[in-house]
Amino acid sequence: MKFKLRAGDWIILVGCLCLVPLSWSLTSQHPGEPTAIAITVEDSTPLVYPINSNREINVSSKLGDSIIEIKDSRVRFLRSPCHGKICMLSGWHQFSGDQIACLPNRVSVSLLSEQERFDGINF
Amino acid sequence: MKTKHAALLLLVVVVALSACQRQLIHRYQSFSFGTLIELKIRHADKTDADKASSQLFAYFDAKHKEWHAWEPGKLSDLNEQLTSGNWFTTDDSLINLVKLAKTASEMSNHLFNPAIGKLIASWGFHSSDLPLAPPTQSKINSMLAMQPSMKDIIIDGNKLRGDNPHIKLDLGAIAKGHAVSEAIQMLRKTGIDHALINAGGDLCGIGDQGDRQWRIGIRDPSGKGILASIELGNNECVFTSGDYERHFNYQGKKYHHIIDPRHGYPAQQTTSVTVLHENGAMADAASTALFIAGPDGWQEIAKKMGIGAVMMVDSEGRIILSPSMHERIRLEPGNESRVVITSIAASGSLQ
Repeated sequence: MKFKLRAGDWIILVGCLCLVPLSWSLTSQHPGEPTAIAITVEDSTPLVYPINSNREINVSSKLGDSIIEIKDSRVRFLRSPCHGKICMLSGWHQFSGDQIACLPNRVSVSLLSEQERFDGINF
Repeated sequence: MKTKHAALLLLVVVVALSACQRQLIHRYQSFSFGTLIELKIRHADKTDADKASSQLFAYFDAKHKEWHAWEPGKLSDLNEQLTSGNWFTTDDSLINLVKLAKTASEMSNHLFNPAIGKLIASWGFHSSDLPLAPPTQSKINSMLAMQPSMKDIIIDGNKLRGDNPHIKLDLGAIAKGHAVSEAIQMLRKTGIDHALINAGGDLCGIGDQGDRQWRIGIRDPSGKGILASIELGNNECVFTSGDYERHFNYQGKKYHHIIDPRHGYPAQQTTSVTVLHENGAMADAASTALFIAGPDGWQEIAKKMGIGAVMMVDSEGRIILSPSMHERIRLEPGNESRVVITSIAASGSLQ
């Protein structure tokens, strides 16, 4: 059995082949760069904020208020009511897949991306 | 028409395939085991993944309570009974963990020594709050004179006995690793073949991410971004011990939580140690033992513990890699000049 492609078939095939690199280019322009952060308090539903907009976010939890700062596509704990301040000392975070957490206050920040460069950060 | 259908089908398949891998990864996180635990499961059925994650987090919660180093639980009961010198029994999971700790301690020439719980407590690390000052030298001397060791725990089947009233087990440098490995086995039993567990920066993975292996970034211990990355093999763990985790400053000097049992003070020559191993408990214990062994002694301990892939950042900022780790790791640009490659078989001072 022989197949003969017509003009319309060629258009569909070429269009199909063009879609693949296009879809890849859309999702892999800057692998590793986060597009958003997700803030979770205890085990509540995460609150998602874009990372390309500078802001300070006030988060209330059991020990008190934390301030999460987003600046220049990076994020950090600017203030935390916890004793050790380990979350603040960890500084700025800018890679997707990374997380910062204040364990005593049970607040976490995850850096999200369409295409994560890393699936997890070891430290 | 048939070719048109074929072409349309091809379009659908290609588009579906290009997107399907990422859609199948389900994410969960929970505060448990004294840290933030993140779970990624790549599985077709979300209901199965949800169920598996619930079981896993329940397991972590239970073991955290049972194995806590200073809060009341099965481990504190065990510590109390060890001081009596009499035979006693406890549950199988805790006995298995103590057996693992005993083996790891022996393999590390007792640099990994979880029997020094009293010394760790005297440093103030048995608290959610950080210490304000180090203990006095006389206090440290008195703790060292007690010489608690895992050799002082006698195990016969499911019975244990302490042979030194000064033993206090602190399993913090092995319990999390063991729990993560156990959790991986639980996932496998529930039919999950592809998952990554991140327990506060220590990770174990099975299977892969979809279109590649699980890729892990290793944070630079200086806090300045990512030092390197590595792709985990199936059923492999990456654990790091670092001086930046729990520490305090006193009179301008930094004191961290990894205490060298030989002199009772925080190990000084190392900044971080990263190891790869198939078993989380061994990876956990080894990262601590190699940290304490330092740049001049880690090779011997790594060989004895069966650890092939090691990355150490020493206090001078050098990145010391075993050949096996050198083959696997991908350093971020700008770090190549810091690298020293050292064979596991080597010993003595680095040049």
